[in-house]
Amino acid sequence: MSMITKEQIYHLYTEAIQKKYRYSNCYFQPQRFEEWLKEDAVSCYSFENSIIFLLNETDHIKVFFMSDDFEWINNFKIIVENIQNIYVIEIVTKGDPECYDLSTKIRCREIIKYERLRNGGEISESKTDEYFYCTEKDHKILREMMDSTFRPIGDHIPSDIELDGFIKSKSIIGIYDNESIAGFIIFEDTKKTSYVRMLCVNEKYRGKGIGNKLMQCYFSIHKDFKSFTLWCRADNTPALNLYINKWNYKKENLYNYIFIV
Amino acid sequence: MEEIYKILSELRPEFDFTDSDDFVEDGYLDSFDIISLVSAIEEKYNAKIDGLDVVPENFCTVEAIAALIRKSGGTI
Repeated sequence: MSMITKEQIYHLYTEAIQKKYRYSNCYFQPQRFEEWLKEDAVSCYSFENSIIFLLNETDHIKVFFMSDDFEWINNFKIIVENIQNIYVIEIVTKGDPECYDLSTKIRCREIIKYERLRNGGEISESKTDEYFYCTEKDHKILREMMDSTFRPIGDHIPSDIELDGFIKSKSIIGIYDNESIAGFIIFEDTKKTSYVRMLCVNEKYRGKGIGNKLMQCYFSIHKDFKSFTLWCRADNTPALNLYINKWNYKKENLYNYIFIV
Repeated sequence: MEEIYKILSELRPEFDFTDSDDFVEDGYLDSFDIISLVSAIEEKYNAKIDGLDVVPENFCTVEAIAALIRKSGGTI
């Protein structure tokens, strides 16, 4: 094992993506990697049959790998043996292949599993005007609701910059109860497809059908769209029931695993 | 080409891929669909797609996908 200097990392990265490794969780674009390098956020460890990149996030370290087998996990164990930290390994897989179950190879603090759901345009007539587009004045309460509902690891909580962007592009709709927000939904549209980034219901309004109302609002402004996707935690049964039973989403057999080591 | 259209419509039956000039730009395929598509075409055409080639421009039309299959050692 050898620690690679910053100057060599990009070269190793570009070399590695041409090697056609069998397994990888490097889903990012090369430009993103360049940005991380500029920020001095990435370190790299090179082995005979694998390469491992560690990306420093605020409160954890993200682990990226490219390898022909799962031997990389043993190399990873050596790297982290003496460094106390939280490591996050994110893997998207089609199906549920056993080889990707890192919990059999390394002790994990926690495993979070998300499933991707898709609605192929089977939307029932949905008409409602009970919603408002969230504005800049809602930024603070949106942030508070997100931070108290979702987890920084895995839930892909938007940054403040992203949140401002969503507000400006009218991509957040909320349901209000007097002056307070009962719930909101953030979506990202691409021509004929729409992706629900986040659906959040204020704790004191849960169990009152707010989530369903938000979906009704969402579909009422997406009547001409043909495809709708979202990621949902596999253990969030109420949310899965809402999406699958009420809004015709179907499981795609596509999983996102978050292994927290 | 017909076979590629078939694979695409099996993957995303809600879309008519013949009416799009750019599958990625039009939102017919996202990055996760491309992961599924790569494994489907590798299996179907016995191709091995280079990680560097998994970029949107290689999946935006059937012609681009066909070129990628040929480049990756597959026969169509």
